[in-house]
Amino acid sequence: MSGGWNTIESDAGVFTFLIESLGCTNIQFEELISLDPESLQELNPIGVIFLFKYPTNSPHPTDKPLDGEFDYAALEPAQQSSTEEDGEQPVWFAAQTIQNACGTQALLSVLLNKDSANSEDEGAKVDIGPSLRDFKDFTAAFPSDIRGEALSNSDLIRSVHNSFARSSPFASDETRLATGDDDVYHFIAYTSINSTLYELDGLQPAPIRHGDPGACPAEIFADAVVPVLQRRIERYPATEIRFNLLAMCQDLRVRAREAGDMEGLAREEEKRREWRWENALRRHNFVGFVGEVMKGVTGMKLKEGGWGKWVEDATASTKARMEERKRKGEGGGEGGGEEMDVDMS
Amino acid sequence: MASSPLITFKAGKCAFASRKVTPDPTPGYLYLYSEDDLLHLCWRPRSAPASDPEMDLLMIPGDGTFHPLVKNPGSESVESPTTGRIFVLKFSSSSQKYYFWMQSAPQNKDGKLGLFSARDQKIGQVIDALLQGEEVDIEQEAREIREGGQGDDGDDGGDADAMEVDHGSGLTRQETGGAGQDATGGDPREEGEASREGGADGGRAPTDTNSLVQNFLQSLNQPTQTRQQQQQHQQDIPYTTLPELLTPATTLPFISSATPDQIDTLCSMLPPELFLLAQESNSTSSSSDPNPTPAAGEAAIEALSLEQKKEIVVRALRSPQFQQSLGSLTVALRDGGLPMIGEALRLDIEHGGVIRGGSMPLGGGRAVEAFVEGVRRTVERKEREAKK
Repeated sequence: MSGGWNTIESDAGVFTFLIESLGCTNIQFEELISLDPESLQELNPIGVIFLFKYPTNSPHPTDKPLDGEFDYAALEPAQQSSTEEDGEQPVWFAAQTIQNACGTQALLSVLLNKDSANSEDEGAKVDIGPSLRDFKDFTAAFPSDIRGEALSNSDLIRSVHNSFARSSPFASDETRLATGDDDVYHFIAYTSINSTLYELDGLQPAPIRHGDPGACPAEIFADAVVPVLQRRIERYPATEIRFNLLAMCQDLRVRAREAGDMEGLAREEEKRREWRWENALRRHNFVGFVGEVMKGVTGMKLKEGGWGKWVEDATASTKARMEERKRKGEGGGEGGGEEMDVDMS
Repeated sequence: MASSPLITFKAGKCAFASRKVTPDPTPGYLYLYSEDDLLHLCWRPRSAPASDPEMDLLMIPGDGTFHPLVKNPGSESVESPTTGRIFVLKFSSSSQKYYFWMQSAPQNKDGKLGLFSARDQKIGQVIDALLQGEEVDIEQEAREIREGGQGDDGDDGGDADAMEVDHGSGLTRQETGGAGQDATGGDPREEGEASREGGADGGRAPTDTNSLVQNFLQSLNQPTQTRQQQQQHQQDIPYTTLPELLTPATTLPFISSATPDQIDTLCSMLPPELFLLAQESNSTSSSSDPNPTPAAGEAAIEALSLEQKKEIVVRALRSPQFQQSLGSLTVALRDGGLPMIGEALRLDIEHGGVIRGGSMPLGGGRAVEAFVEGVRRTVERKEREAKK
């Protein structure tokens, strides 16, 4: 049995440092605010991670995907000699076994298919590092469900993943509690493998091919993926769309340096510092800090004579929020109607 | 204090109500000591000094028995019908019963959380023998336990100091907060697992109470029944939460008026990385050591001005990560973590955070209230002491 996987945020900084910690260098993630072909092309992405709300209650036809085609042939484990001759690489695809691991699984789906060791695309040289290469080799001959097991049992990957977990134990459960309709968020990856556009979703039985085989060399990936993503987004009610798009691309600092773009470089360095700042806080145990802040604020309030009012005001604010919630029909807690009345913003 | 304990092992108390045994998460020690030829059986929280056990029972030889609570008496495997290893202390002189749960990591690999390993059983047998007034060569037993008990499955899943035996050198436990290798305060079902997950926090084994609390918070990831049971027993009050108390509107004025000493203390409680980042100028590369040493952090803090330090503290106070931690700490308080958090922060919490007259931790709004009141009491006491 594997150990526990905690939830992590789908944040460009988190994912970038996550893959760096796994030994993959020179690659970063960039968040895309909108599905804009130009900005995606700008980044020259090697893959895209799409995060969206996954309806668990709507029936999902599994014999045919809603868009594209299941490519079962791509599921065949590596036949070493034949693929090398064809110049084709086997597709690394793993079934998802752990809900909380799906972000990491999605980004590994792209990375392990972009290993510079056997990628024929010039523009897609990625050094995935020794640990991930070992993992890829180890799982090369496995069927996809066993690959999924191997991933969930990988101590290295799990511990790196968990090191970015939120300090709040209720992070992504908030949606479930609030709406009560049991939707979860799901990550899927899109990338070009063997000049073919693939959608890699661990909950599906096979990689999904969009367009014809060979019709999507890496250079046109950005163009080709946008309409596919648009079609996906259109499936959801317009009011409900909460999605997140992360592009995987070369380290933008390296690109700026190579282009002599000093301003761009400074911007990217600043962004990295922001990410390091956030990650430092993410991993931090705030208990001691909260204690000191509480003591300090309490001291201040006592001196001012406002301690009682401070607590009263906060209590009134909590009460108002609870009533607001009840009004909206959320809540329904455990044990005497007391819910987890803690607002996670 | 009384003489050194004869035998000590990591155990927690349990509450027993309407045929239900509820484990109390507080990490503790169950131990026996002998004074004036009288045997005492005691329990105390691990962070309390040895001279101050919460429970100290005088045991008449032969009166008490100490056995595992088993679901299949007489069968080969000794297993509790629960998700933890429970011992029962019974008396022939009364119908009083006490339940304790083993807090050391379970040694079996099958995930059977109620299964007593050979080592676990031995601990119970030694204690039972002592309660009968038998002569027990504890040194010998301890040696056997250590040598034989390591690996029911060829794997030392247990912890080396799950059990302590006095070698006559005065084994006094004076920890004021340092907990053992895999001490956790969480649900006993998660005892073994949670401590391993704690290693995810930078790979350090919890040796300080901050990590102990972190493990407890992580153990809350798994839904627990004990939370519901606890809430049912108490009448709760509506109170408030830490995010609503420590809004920027409240905390920022504090920072502006804080003394340099207070700011330095606050800085020492933040990740050193923040200060190193502040030192870096825009033109230098941002790829320095991602895991700076505390020494590097201290050096960076010293190099910064008071204003710069305040800026960093303010930024941290405004961060979503800080807000989230206020939320999860509130949940931890509400879910029985008050005694542990109170100890970790050295606060004067009333009754140590348990319900008066009992041993169950406060929960719900009452726990948050006790926390806030405890902070006030602590601050007031420090003010008085400073004036002397």
